[in-house]
Amino acid sequence: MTVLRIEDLHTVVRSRGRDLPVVRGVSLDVDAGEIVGLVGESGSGKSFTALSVLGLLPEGARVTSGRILVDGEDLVALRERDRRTRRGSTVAMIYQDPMTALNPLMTVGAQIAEGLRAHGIRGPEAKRRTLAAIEEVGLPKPDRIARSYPHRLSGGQRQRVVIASALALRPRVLIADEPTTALDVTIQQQILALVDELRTEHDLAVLWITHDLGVVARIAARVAVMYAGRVAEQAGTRELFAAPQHPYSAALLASIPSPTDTERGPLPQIGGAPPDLAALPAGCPFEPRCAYREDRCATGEPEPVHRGGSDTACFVPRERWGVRGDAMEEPA
Amino acid sequence: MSLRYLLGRVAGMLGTLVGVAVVVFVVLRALPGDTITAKLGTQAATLTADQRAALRHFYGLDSSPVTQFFRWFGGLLHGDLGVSMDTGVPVTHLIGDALPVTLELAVLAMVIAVPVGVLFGMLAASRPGAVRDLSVQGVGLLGLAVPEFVVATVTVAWLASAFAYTPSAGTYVSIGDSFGGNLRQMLYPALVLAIGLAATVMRTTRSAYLEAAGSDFVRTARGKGVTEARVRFRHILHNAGIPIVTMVGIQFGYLLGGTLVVEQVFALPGLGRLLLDGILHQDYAIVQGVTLLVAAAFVVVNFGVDVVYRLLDPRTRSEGRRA
Amino acid sequence: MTRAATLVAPAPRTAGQPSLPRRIVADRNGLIGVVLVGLLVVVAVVSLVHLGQDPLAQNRTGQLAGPSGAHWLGTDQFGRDIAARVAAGVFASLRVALVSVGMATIVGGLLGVLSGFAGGVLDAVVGRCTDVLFAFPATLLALALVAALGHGWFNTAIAIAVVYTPIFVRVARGPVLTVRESEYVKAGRVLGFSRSRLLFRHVLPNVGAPIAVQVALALSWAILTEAGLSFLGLGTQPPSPSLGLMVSDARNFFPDAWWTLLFPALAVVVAVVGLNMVGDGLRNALDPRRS
Repeated sequence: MTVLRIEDLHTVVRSRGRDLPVVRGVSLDVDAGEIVGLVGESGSGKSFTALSVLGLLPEGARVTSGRILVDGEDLVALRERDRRTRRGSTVAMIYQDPMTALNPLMTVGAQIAEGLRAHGIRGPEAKRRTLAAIEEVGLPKPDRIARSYPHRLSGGQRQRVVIASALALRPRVLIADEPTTALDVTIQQQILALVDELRTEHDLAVLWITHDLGVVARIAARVAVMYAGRVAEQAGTRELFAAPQHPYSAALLASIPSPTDTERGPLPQIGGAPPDLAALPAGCPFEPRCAYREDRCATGEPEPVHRGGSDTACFVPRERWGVRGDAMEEPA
Repeated sequence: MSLRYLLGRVAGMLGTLVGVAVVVFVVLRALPGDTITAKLGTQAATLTADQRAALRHFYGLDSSPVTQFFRWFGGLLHGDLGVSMDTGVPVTHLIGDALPVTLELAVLAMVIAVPVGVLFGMLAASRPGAVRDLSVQGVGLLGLAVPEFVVATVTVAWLASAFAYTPSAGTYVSIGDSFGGNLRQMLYPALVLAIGLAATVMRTTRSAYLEAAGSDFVRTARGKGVTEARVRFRHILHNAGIPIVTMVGIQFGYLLGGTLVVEQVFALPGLGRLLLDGILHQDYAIVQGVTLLVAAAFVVVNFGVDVVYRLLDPRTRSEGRRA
Repeated sequence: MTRAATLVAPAPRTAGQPSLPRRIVADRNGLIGVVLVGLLVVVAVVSLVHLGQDPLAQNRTGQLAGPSGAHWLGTDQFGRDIAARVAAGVFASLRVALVSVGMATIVGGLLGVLSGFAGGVLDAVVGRCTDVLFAFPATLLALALVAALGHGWFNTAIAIAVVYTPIFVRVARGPVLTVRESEYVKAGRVLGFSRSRLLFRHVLPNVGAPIAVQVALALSWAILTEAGLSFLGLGTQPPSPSLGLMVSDARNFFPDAWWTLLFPALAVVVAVVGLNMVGDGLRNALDPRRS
């Protein structure tokens, strides 16, 4: 069952009197109990997509068209007051850096209870649910944790608190903005396992934003690869890793170091830089960096097509890639 | 906050206070002319050498500077600030009469300035670069740039023409005599003092608020669905509050030594006027006593600010085991 | 009146940037500040050559006359030309400000650089002395010093200089410590460059930026303080023209003879606003994050 449906989302940022398109027609579905990885470089529009869903775009940014449906309700059409009440209760978010995501001057318990109170849960009920939320994320002695200030907790403990706070109201959609990047490797694994477990338990629809394909392989059932504000390719994780249908996905996959590589050659890189959003090329935005480009790539922007188990926004099918040689440009 | 930290800070503060006493002593002993000439004026010329020596002995001016310092410093420790050469009244009594006036003025100015400064600082920071920000900042700069003596002068002139009220030293009503009468006399000088203070508080609030508003935890709070008003006050302002409280405390310290102009123009018998009279009449026991007291108060206030700062922030409030 | 010690992180010099004056003027606040301060400097210079009226010349028939063609800004209670007196007062203010801040910058800056660079006992002694001076509210310290030194513009300048010296010590010392520990100075030491060469080649250029900002703020504080002391009768003595004294004299004739108060007050405000804006412009121009 589809919980989160993003339909043709367009978001712009006002900069020096011009609207820069940062999300350009993103469509994406996340089912209940499903984790979808949203992958891309910084500036690809993945964070703006997530903030659009949450309704927390920074000053100067706005959704210009499209719909964001959660259980059939269009969040974009809501007034700001109703939008606020959906935050935390319908859509929640966990963040990259647990060291800065919590208010240093409030106890952990007060910060979780604050979210409950913002949605009308008060008094002993708020207290009970705060402790339950802390317990649920596997922290020992919930009443003691609740009375602690964030600086007394380790990074992993804080990230658990952030997760507890996000899930305290049983939201339908969880947006995870690289919640493991700032943590040690062993803690990363614990947090991954925790989110995975809570996802099954509560039938959560999870949108997991990352630039780390390794994390995606580990946790996501499906992946959407973003480039220059659009979804370049959307596919099942297994299918994407086995046979990427978009040259950009292929290039991303090729740049992951693999432990089975016996030859210690230089790691391939993607040549060139992501396009300037103020001056997008007329054709496919990846065309200038693409090793398989054909003439028409420079003139028209490809619409997504279903090909080889993927939805890919590319004119050139995988079968034609071979004739042009290696996808990657060797680093200088 | 650990006891050890507190003891360290107290020791440091005591050291600074001794340094302050030395500076006051050295600066005010290097005065031009000696106190006897200052006291007796032209009569000093008629003194015989013996009379002069006797007087020097009486005032303790014939011993070495180091002995004089320790005698003076020993007196300080017993609460003896010496005697006014002009009137013969102990300096501690004069200060005891003047201090409440200055304290009341300072507190009143703070009570007016802090809410105004904080609110306008928040208003300016709510939309950096917008018209409201630029106008608040412009007015704030003017508040700092128009000298107190100008505002005070204009206010007194306005009071005289509008209410036919002219402040004079003889008509001061203490808060014990009449609360309303006292407030009528103190309100305008406090308002004059509050202008510069409010501008300073506004600037601090604006920058601290902007800094806190950019923090990740503010986004977390919004992400929980917390109302915008609560985000602003409970999260942003609370975190911005630490630098604001520090600034307010330091300003209060400055104020104890900075009411002079206003006391002079409004003819209020506070510490500033006492000091000014002491300077004009070359009554150096008064100058020494007031300077020392205000500087010591300033040191103690700064220490208090530091302690409050540490109490406000749970990260420095207690060191201990992690949960 | 507060002493604000603003620290700006030392900025490594980058090639190809526009020159500092150009960057200050490019900043909107900086440009306004430079214009305002420039205006006052012109006024002060004009006062030196007495183009118009003698600021001390009394006139028994034209007392407290409003602005007119003969006296652009009117006359005071002795019939003296306000315009000429304001110009001379601006000159007096700038003289005290420049002399005091100049002394404080040289003495404080040198002490800060030396104590930061040398460390050890010198650093400890200098640090302790600045702590004690910082323990006095600025205005009070200036007053006590004036009480001890006596009146007159030069004594006022010395008092203000003493108040501001510890600030320059701190402002100069901070960047020196940073630079001293930086890799390129350590590398220079390994390469066997002399201490003085390191000091002049690497340390001083980095200390310049924060000191420049502080100089602008110190000048504005000095002008306010000089005016305040003169207003109280502790600074410049009559009949010498001084902005603070003029406001003090005007007390008895305000609001009827409003020009006697408005113009000297305006001169102080323009100076303080202008110097603060120059300081803002300097800070923005020197802030590496803004270029």
